Amino acid sequence: MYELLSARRRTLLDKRLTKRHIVLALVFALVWVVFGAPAGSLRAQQTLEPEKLLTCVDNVRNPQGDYALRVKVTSHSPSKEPKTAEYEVLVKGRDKTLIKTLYPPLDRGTSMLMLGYDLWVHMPTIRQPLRISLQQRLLGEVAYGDIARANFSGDYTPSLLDKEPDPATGLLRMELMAKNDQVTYHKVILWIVPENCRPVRAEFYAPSGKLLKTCSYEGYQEVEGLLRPCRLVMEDPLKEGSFSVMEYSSIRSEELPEKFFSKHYMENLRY
Amino acid sequence: MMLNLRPISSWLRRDLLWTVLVLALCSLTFQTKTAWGAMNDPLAWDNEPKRVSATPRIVSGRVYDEAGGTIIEFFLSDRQVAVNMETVREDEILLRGLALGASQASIPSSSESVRWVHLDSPLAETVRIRYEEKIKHFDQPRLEQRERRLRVLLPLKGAETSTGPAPGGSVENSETIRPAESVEAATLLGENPEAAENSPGSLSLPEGVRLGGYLLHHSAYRSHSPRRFASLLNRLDLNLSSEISPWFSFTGEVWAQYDAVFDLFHDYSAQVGRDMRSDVIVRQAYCSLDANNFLISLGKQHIVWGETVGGLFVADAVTPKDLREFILPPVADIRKSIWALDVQWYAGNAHLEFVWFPSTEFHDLAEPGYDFYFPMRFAKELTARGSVAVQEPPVTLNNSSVGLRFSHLYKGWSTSFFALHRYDYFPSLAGAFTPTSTLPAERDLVLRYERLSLFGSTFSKDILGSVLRGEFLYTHNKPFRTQDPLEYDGLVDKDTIDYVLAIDHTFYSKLDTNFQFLQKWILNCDPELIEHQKDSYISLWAQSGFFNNTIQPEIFFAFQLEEPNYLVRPRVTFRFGNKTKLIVGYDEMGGDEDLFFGQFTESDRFYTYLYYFF
Repeated sequence: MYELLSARRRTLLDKRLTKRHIVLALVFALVWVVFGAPAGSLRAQQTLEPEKLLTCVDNVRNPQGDYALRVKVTSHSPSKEPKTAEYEVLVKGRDKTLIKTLYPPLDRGTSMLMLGYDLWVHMPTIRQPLRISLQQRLLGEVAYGDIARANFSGDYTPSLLDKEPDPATGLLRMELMAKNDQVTYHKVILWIVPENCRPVRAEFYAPSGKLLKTCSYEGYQEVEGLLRPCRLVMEDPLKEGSFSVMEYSSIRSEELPEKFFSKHYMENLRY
Repeated sequence: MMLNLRPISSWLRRDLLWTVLVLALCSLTFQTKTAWGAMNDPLAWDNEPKRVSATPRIVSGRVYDEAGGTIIEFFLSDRQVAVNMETVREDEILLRGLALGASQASIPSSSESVRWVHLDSPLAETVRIRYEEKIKHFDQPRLEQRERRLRVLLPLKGAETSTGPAPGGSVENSETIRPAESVEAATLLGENPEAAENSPGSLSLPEGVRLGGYLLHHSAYRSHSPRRFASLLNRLDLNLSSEISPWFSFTGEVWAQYDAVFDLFHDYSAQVGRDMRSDVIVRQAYCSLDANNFLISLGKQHIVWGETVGGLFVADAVTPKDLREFILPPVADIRKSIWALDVQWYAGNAHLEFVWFPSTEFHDLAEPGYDFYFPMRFAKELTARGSVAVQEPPVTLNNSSVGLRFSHLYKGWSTSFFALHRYDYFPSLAGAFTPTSTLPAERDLVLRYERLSLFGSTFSKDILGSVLRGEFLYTHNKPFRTQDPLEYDGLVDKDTIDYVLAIDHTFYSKLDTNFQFLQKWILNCDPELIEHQKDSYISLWAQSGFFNNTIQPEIFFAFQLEEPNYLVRPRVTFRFGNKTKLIVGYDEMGGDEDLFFGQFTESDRFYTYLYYFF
């Protein structure tokens, strides 16, 4: 049949077939990018590429894209009543975060906006957005940056401290160096499970090399299709018995309006 | 003890009409919205009793489309929260059991018949419900309301489960239990009950309505003669936030306050007592329409355009101030709210704002004889003359004020530019023209308000861990008192430039500091002007925190460069628990009595502010 066609028609058919192949290839590539890429990132452990591993860890720590969650921070100190604060955190993309203080009543209404490394705080007692720096302490062992900066890969350059996971624990150590001075911590040592990119423990260091705090990632629960750590315990090694627990709940992916992430909107936030 | 009702009647006259109008507008919109919702929302169950009880908690949910239908997905509260609930064992048991798997249930296609959803298996932490009817035709806000109204029944009859260790918890608590025969989850979706229990405004109010506020007792004791209390103020602040829909809301705030000093001590004039003793003030009463990139607010509201704080206002020029206690009260208390229409447009990093407001509010200044009788440039003349008539401009469309501001954020530089056409909030002391008086000395004095044009700019930038801030303001045709006999009313218009530069830095992650340099220039200044051509001020502020920031000492120091006069404000803030805050401090002002701070040298005071938030 094909041979019976005229040469001109065969040429046209060849062109159509070629176009169809190209379209099919594009569709296949698109499908692979959309559906295969996440799986590819989850397979990063097989190649042990630090950048991909860190991106994979970020994917486990938080949903990507827009999402909202609640964070309950409980600060424990020896011989003192635990101190609790509760926040609603809205995240848009990789670098826009809005933190609304829900509890305690003394601080309720205080909100913090982070656009990249630019921070504003809005307090009911002042009624205007005030620019602040990233290092300002929030509560106990937890800094604004601990809540607001959700992605390691945006702030740190990773490298592997171990060539292979520890045979006893199965954990792999990564070293994360801050990309610039505006990042909350200068260096982070991160223990992960390479098979599933789950972070287990982290140590945060100052530029002087001093260990500022440690964090353990616990309470893994299925959120948005992945098991994610919903309980972070942060400790200051210099303060024995003092630690802060960050509990994540109500994590939900949803498209958030761009204007929520404007300092001018802070006065209008609903509590 | 007699309450002075003059301020209340004044408030009634001034604000009540406007408040009623705004409330009526909100109410009308709310009723329209409610009626619309009742007609169109098949899952509106307002008439059913809310059976919120010891149940698993649905703390969030979402709606998304999937092949074959729409999925409504709930997330139950995490197990750690349940473990911490000692009062309800069933909750703890159930939630632990629920974490074992996932379940799906179908809802009949007729959505109106759906009241309760029965799940085959309760062992699901995430409950997914397939809702067959496409609901894309609802807009997002209505979709959210639908979510909040959904209820779920989780039948556990006959189920038996075993409690495992809570995440991060101990295994010692493990035990085999028999759960209740049936557990209802009748929780309003989208709310976190625990947060609601702990939150300050957690009174039993309709959904979307929040009532909060604080009680304040403020004492001040004079350290100069006469040594006595200068203030014994008690205030109730009530603020109401009502989210009528995701795009429409009402915000209200009222102060009711009484200062006992003016009944306990009788050395203030009756005029001062009437002005300061008691008041009911509508601080906020406005509706907001929040749609797409627009935010439109109508009513009494705060509009703040400045970047800096500290009581030295430059670009914060939209709203007038209450200066009856000088600049000593908290900044938010000094600012007065205004009846205004505020239209904001958001476009990525850009922001455009238009304001329109009638000229009904001006600076509140203390009456003659009070500790902070202000400003000093009028004091001597007014004292010599006694009372002086105040001429407020009539409230007309021509006399109303408008402002426009454009803001932008680029590479960390936050900048804004604005123009404002309004009345001067300070009255100008002018010689009034009468048929019988021709010489300045014989003219009657009058306090009147003049029209101004203001152009300004602000910026802020984080550089090397420090925050730089600045404000710039150019004022056209600001009236000043002159001794030039040729100026008929004793006033001459001049242009002025005000600017402030500030830097914030935190030392060793412990000490927050702020340094500000502020300057005021009168352009083309004449020697006949009573005011100085240039006034320069420097302010320093430092604060630290101890014991988890429950004790926060701070100090503020401001002084003038040209002539020695200053303000020093050491104080300590104590936080008691989650609801109580005590501020103890001392205000000292010194310098020549004709200068900005020095005029109040005799008004130094110890003070306390005791807040209880609810």
